[in-house]
Amino acid sequence: MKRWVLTFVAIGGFVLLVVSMRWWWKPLLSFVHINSSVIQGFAALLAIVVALFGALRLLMRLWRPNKSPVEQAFEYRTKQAIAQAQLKITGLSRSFERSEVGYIEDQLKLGKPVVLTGDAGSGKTGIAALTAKKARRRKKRILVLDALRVQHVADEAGLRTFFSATEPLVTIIMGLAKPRGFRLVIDQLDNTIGLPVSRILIELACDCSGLRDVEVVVISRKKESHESRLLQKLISTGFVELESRELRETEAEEALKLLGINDPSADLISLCRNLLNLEIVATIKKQKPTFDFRNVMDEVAVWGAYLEVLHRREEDSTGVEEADRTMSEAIRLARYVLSTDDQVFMLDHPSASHRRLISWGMILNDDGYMCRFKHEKLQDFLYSRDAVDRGLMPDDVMNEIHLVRSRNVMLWMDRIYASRNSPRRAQFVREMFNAQ
Amino acid sequence: MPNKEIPFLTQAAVLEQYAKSDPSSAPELLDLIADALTTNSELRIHFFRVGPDPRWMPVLWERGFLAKPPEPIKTERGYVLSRWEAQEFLIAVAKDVPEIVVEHIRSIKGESVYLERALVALRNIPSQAIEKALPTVIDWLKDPVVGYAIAMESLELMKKLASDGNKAAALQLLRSITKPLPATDRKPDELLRRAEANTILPVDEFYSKFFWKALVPLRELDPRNTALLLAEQLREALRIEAEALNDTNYEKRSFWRNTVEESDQDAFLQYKDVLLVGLRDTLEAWIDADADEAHVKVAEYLQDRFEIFRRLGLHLLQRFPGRFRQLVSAELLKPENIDDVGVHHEYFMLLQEGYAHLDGGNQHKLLQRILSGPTEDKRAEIAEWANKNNADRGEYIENYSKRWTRDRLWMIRDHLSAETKEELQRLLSEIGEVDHPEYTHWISGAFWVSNVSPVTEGELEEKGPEQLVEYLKEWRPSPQTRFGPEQESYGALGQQVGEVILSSLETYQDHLLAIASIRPEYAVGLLKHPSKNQIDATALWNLRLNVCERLLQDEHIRTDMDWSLEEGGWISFRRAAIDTLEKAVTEGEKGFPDEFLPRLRDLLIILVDDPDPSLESDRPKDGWLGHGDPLTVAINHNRSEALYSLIRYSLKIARKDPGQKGFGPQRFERSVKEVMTHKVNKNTEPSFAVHSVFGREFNGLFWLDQAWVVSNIDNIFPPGDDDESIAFYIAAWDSFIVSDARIFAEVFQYLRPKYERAIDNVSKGYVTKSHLRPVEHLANHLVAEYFERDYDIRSIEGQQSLIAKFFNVVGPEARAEAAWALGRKCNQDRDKIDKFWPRAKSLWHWRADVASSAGHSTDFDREMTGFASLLHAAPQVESIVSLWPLLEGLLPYIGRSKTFDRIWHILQEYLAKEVSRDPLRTIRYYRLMHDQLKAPVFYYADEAKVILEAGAANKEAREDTWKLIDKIARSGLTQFNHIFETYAG
Repeated sequence: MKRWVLTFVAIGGFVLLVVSMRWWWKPLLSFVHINSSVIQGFAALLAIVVALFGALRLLMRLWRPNKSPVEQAFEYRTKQAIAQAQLKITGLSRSFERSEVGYIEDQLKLGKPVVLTGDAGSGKTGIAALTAKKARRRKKRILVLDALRVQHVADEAGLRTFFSATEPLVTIIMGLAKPRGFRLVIDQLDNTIGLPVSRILIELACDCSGLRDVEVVVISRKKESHESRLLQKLISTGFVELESRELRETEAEEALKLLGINDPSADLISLCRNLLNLEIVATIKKQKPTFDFRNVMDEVAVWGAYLEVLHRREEDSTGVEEADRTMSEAIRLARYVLSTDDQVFMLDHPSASHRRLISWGMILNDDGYMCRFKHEKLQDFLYSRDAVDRGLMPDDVMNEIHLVRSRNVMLWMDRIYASRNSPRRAQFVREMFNAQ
Repeated sequence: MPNKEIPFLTQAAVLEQYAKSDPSSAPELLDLIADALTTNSELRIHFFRVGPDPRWMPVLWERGFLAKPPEPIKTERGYVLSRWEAQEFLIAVAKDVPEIVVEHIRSIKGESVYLERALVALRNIPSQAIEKALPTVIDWLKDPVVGYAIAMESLELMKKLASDGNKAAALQLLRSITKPLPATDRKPDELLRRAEANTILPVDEFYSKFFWKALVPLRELDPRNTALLLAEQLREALRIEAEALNDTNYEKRSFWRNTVEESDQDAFLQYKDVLLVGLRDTLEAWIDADADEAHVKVAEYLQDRFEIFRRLGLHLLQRFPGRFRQLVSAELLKPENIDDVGVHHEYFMLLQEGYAHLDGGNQHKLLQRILSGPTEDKRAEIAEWANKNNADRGEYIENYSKRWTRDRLWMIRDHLSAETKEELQRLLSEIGEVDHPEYTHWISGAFWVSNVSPVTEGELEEKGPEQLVEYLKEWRPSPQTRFGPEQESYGALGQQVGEVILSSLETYQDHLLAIASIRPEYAVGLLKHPSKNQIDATALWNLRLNVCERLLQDEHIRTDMDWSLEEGGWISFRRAAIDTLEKAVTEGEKGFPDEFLPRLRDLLIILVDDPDPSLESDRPKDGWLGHGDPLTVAINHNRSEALYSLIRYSLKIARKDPGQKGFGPQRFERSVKEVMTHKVNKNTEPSFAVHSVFGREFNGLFWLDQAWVVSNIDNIFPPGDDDESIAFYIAAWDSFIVSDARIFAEVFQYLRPKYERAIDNVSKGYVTKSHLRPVEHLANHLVAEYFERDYDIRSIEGQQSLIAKFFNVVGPEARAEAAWALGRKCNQDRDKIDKFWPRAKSLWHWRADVASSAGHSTDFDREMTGFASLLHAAPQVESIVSLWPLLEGLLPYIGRSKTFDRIWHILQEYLAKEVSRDPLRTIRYYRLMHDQLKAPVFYYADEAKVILEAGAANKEAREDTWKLIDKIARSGLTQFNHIFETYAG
């Protein structure tokens, strides 16, 4: 549709130009005092040629061949992955200078594939997005593959299906690499550890790294030896390992100052070296500029403040009851997700509360009706805080959530009980360790 | 989803949060956590392994975590000392809690291994703090049993003290560590008869290096006192040894050490060597650092009453001649040194290194002394020795004097004048080159000895035939060559003679028998195949047959049984002849002329009566090659091999007629048949080895002459129950079963009762000791027979079958062989798997039921493992569901093995293949397998990873997978935690 409109505009513009000549070329000739008959003919011809050329170019651009389903899938998945990346901290006009992007580019120029590792919250996905954007600016074809989305894939055929491909992905990428090159970015590889797809992605990365004009960047956490082992094959294939680091203390402090938090405590600076925590602090600051951060010493306080601020804002606009309802719904959703071994839930008939949660940025619409919490940490925290409010003990929790989710929840609950100096903490720990 | 149990990995994560934080932030929880750590060993192990905050140490100390080491764990293989986690934590954080480390050292009681680990903690704290604990450590070292366990760690502690400049403490510790102990304190299993002083230090090439290295910081800090201490310990060690030997003159002897410097002449270290080397290196370092200060000590050693110290002094002079010129001069010119055997090596080395440092006058004086030869006293001593040995006195003294002068001049050869050099040259050409003159004796390394011919082929070729015969008659190996890397032998010469003759047959034609008759080695040389020149096959075989025929006419040659270790007698020739004839009748040999076949047969008929094997060599004693193994004896002896060759000959002849196919016709030549009939009778041929050949070639004999075999089958497999019949039976049967895997229907009908008898024999233990595993081969035969039939194993016919009888009567080991044979057969003949598999499965079912009825007793362990191997052969149509009853039947046998749990690995491998088809059931079975384990698995193979990853990836199987991973994590194995964490977020 858009294409037809633009075609119509291009042709219309051309006709308009020719028709309008009679108004603009005569005054021009009189101004330069030249015999109009010769010049008039020459100028008219020139104008027609230029207009025709411009219109043709525009049409060519509009009517170039359709992209194949695989290219469209690549584009869609790339857009989806980049959209997840938070390139700026809320409230800051500029994004952080990530030297890692430059280091990656340097290695890619040398023809070396790169594996970028780092802790959670160190901005790896943002770096992946920036790396992809750089490639796009250079007219390279790109694919940013969020490994989280292919967790279910069991074999290479499954991966082909995911991208609507009939040929092996390596062959497709080899074809797309002509003439300007191709950049493959595999993000969140760590989310596939222990799954069959991890081997498929690693093989894809290794195979692509050997192709001409194909650049490969793999991004993964490296907190445990398992991740290290997973990456070992890449390293042994010739991948250069670079590290994504948390912000330095001075950077975190500067960011807090830019957010208007002057004289931040050492604890807050330390917390905000992690970009996720910094983002939460920034969101709090944006929502409630007068918030006092002096008491924010740990993650419990950060996330608690975040929820409190969102609640207050909702209270101001829709009233206490509506705010409470929305928060309760968030907790209910968190409990529901934690009772399954999945990260997503379905909202086929979103209520007002759901829409608010989406507008708060707490919930993301993933695909169709499928939604998930933007931050898993928030999901765990929401449930844990509620569980502590209800005075739950480990056994009670085990009856409510899936056993595999119990680790993060229990860790939060322990911290929340501790932060409240709750008398129930001892009982919680006793039950946790089955101590006497 | 109700689930009461908290996953271990969740508990571990929360505990880790506490472990990594400051305990003072939650004082009210400390007792509670300590209690959990005390009562829950899984949590305790995890807590210490995550690396807790050092501030936890005082908390744990106060709560007694370091008060008592873990109790030894009683296992089936004795007691096992487990890791003391709290102590390991102390080691890791020692520098933060030095006071606790010192207190720990002072209070610890327990096995030496824990004391040793405590020392590791101790050396991680500042030197001043170490001193407080040192008296305790020195007390420990006084007990040799404890000392032996902690000596190496104490050395490290000493190094640390010395490196920190704490001289007194380091020396004190060194004294305790190196204290020589009476030999009686040696552990009972060590060197009971030796008298040398004992030590708590391990004395060998490997560990001694650690000791010498540990001395480095101390000798850099205080070389004088280090040397004094080591010297004192060395004297004490020598005194202890002398006391044990009641040797009052020990100070004057040092033959236990060949050279003071490092050399390959002192191969076996003793404690006194360890001390001497430590002392030597310390003194060298001292001299290097401050020769003036060390001068007095060196001079003292040169006058020492201990010979070894005088040698040490001389050694130091030769190492640093420029720094001790006066001492060098005095020692080199000292008359008693020049002829002193005790200090010989070090004096000679000093001669070599120190001569250049003498001034001109002293050099001249020493040279004259050398040129004048040994002293009058020495000459008299030599003369007396010559008298005693009835040698020519004058000649003996003269030779000795020349060697004496030559050896000493050799050491200073680089500094001699032209005239003296000429003198040395004259002595060398007169009495020969020197051989390590600086040593009183010399030990060479190991070398390979090879047999060589005394002459080259060219030299042999130059000799005419008669001359060659004469030469060969006269020649004897030189005794001198027996001690070098090459030795002359008849065999090597015979090989060469064979080559020469075969390359020029016409020349030697008339002398062949003369040469062959001289010695068996020369006759053997003529039977070998020429390596160079191609020779006409007919001429070559004619020559060989001629040699054999002519020589075997001689009764001595036919019956000689001399088989000495040097080179064999005529028995070796006969063996070579049989080997040669055997080659002619094997399938691959194409060049043997048919017209010679009767000659070959006649030779074999002679050789089939060879006296070898004798009754003694036919039945070797226990421990000798071939004991209880007639098949092995047969292939190593003449008569049996000749019989075998004769059968091969008959087969060759019979196969020449293409019309003769199938079993049955009488294909034996009359003369051969007579021999066979004679030899098959145990009364006329008493050799088990020879008898075994009838079994080995049973199918061939049956093909040659079915009637003869049928009429002699009870001779081949005697039915009697007496020992002799049984021995003959198993000799033939086991040879049959291991040599031929084929089962012919025509033969089987005659052999069925023999199989039954063989099964009975196995059940009674009547089996040869062949390394070719006859029981396994019998099982292979029975399995092959079973697969060819169609009866149901549980039917009456089935229960009367051979395989059923086998399983019903033989022991567990043999049953296991049959179970493994099933799997092997199914895997080998994949094209017949559709036919084999249902029968194999049916047999497995029957045996699983029998095992179940017997309460899955340990008697079935190996058999069920064998059946489990069938899983590798299972066809695609079988799934974990269809095999579930059989798989359940295997569960009781998991975890029983004390070593490699084969059944576990087979099942794990199977599940890894099956998990993609049915993850849920696979994981459930894998959990059942884990439930059977009495002790945790130490390490999981890759298959386990495949199973668990695939299980976790499957929604239905995920929960079971996590529970299993959690269970594995409880045992302290974190190999699969990552799978859990992937889903935990």
